[in-house]
Amino acid sequence: MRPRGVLFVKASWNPFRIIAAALMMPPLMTLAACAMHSPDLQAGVEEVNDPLEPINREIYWFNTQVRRVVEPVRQATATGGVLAPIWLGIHNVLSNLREPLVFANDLAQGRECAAGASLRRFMVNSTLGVGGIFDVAKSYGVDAHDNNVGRTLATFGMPEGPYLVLPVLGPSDVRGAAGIAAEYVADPINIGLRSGGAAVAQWPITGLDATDKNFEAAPDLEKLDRTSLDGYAALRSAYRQYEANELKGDGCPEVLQIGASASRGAGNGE
Amino acid sequence: MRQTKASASVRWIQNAVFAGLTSVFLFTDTVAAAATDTAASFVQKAAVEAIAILSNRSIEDSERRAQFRGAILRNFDAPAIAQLVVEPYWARASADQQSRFQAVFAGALANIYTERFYDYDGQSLQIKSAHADASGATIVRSTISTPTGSTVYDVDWIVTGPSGREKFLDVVIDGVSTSATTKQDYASFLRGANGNLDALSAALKAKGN
Repeated sequence: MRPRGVLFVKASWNPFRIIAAALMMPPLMTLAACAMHSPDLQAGVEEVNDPLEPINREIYWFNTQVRRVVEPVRQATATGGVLAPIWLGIHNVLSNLREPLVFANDLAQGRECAAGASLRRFMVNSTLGVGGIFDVAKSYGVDAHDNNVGRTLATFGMPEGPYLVLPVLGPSDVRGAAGIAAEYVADPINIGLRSGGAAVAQWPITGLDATDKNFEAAPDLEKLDRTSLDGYAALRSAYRQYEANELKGDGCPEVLQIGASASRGAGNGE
Repeated sequence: MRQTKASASVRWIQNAVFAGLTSVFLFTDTVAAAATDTAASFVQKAAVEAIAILSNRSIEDSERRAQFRGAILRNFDAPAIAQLVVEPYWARASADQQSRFQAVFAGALANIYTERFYDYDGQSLQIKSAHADASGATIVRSTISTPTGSTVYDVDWIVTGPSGREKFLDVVIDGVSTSATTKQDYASFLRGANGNLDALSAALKAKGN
């Protein structure tokens, strides 16, 4: 259950994020403009590209309180907790439901090996993993990786835009929020649920997904808070670095990299 | 004939210069390779030491923590990192302020890395590669795996200092630099404190560093 080096809640599809981004932008822009009187302060704000910082900080504080309130539940679901086996199954199912979206984004970004990994994971875990309850693909070294429409938009040249902290789900930016809006419409699982007359199932899935991602990130967020003077600024920096690094990576698991380089070598006549 | 002799002389000079440059490049390459090798060995040695401390169940948790902090202070270049994380405010501070900040920052650094790595008990480190960067530091690329191998972190160790006296300047986990994150944390504080390094030292002390 330990997150893969995550210091924050990873971007994910969630209506909360769309609503927050859509409703809050105009009034927040006005507030931020009022706050920027001093040239020094303005230089600082531009450097961190966080014009909505006052409201972002409020949401960060809210998210921290929510995280601490649900901490006993998280501990019960963590390794060794009474709910750990059940929660692991839920986590695996949620992860599996996300694979079609990850696959589509891998393809759109030209990450063929990662797309292959996603496809393998979805096929193996949906069948041998009993609908995704068991992560069988992981035991073969094909670990899960995340991808989203925000990163696809980045690949096509869209800048990240101002930093945003979204209720419950945490750090993001304008590009990430736009990606979430697109995912809500275009996620293959959501399309399937809507066309099958089960659109209402999107809500519990969304709620569980948000909870799962918060549980994953909680220990690292607490550590960051304990070792920082300004946990908000530290998280903003960590989020930006992580996202920049994710855009550079190929998302290809090591076990498939060998196969990928072998086939490239064969293709080149090496 | 004269032209041929002149050409030969030019070619001889060219060859001499080429040979000289080649040997300089080869020497530089050899030195760089040796530096990256020793940096990688340093990372391996530090990891072995850290794992030995973390897996020592014969001592109390507080003692283990104290030993781990000691290892961090020995292996990290705290004075250099202190300067790095408060740029550009460092240059504006007086020598006394700088000295006071360095004294308190060493404790903060030990706390940061103890929090980050203290849970890495039972995990294994595998060094992938090492190369020198433009600043002269060596970047040692590695992965840290959980005991089952199910979770793998990409960890880059930024190593500086002469052979035999290497120190860590930064650790980058899955693309997130500890020094850069600390720098942004402190920059946010210093912006609100008019860049006063003494205020930052006091805040770090108050936080128990």
